[in-house]
Amino acid sequence: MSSIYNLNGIVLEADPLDGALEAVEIDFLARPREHVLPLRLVTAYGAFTQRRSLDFVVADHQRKTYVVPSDQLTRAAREDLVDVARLAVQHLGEILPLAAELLTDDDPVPTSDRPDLASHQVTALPGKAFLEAAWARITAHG
Amino acid sequence: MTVSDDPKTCYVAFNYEEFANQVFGVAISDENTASLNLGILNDGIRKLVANAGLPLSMRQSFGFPVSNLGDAYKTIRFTIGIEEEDLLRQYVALITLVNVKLSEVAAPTELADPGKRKLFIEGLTGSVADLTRIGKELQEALDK
Repeated sequence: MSSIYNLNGIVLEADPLDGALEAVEIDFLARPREHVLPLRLVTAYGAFTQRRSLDFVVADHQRKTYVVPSDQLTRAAREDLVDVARLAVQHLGEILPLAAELLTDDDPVPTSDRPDLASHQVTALPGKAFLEAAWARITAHG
Repeated sequence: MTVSDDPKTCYVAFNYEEFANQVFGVAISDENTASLNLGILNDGIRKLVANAGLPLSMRQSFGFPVSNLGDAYKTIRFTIGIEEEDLLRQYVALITLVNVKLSEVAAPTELADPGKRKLFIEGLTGSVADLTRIGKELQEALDK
């Protein structure tokens, strides 16, 4: 794993896979799981679907690992990932009530159907309504 | 009483993070993950240790000269002792058998209910009554 960012408990890493793909890990250390999951979801949603439109799949049930094409994980995309992760932490106080109200295992956000990503897909990115509300709250602050 | 200061004492901490996320979904929390860990240790691994008649101790902390299993909240900690290799391999087989059986659970979300989970985990290994059976069941599971 090569580090994209590691500061104040936000850990973002990328690991090249075969076939010009990268496994991106999103983690938030020293926080309870009930905070970590919404933070991971918001970060992936914001960085991969809102700031940019990346092809990605969710590669574990913890929603910690995401596989994306290497050519899409540009320097700018990595910078966006860092920025969104930091914003998610800054807005955690607003995100958690939204998660309690809206986050369900259903209501998935569409992910990529690229054939080269298919074998890496383990589960879905859940909580479309939650993620839309959380992202609206984050971006409302400019 | 002596102070254990053996720098070569080692332990393995294993966890069920990925499985816990399958069980609890977006309701994952520290509390329910710890509850799952403890259930697997008490209702699965410990019962199997008892069934097999193995002298594996269950104490908190670490640094023991003999093998020991302990609940460490987010993980289960296995201190590797100075027993003969054959016995250590039996411990490994036993823990592996529980984990292989858990990996075969068809509907993990049903285990979110503590009562169902206890019954299910007990049932995973309830019929495994001795060391021979542990080895046989593990081999069958790994051959699948």
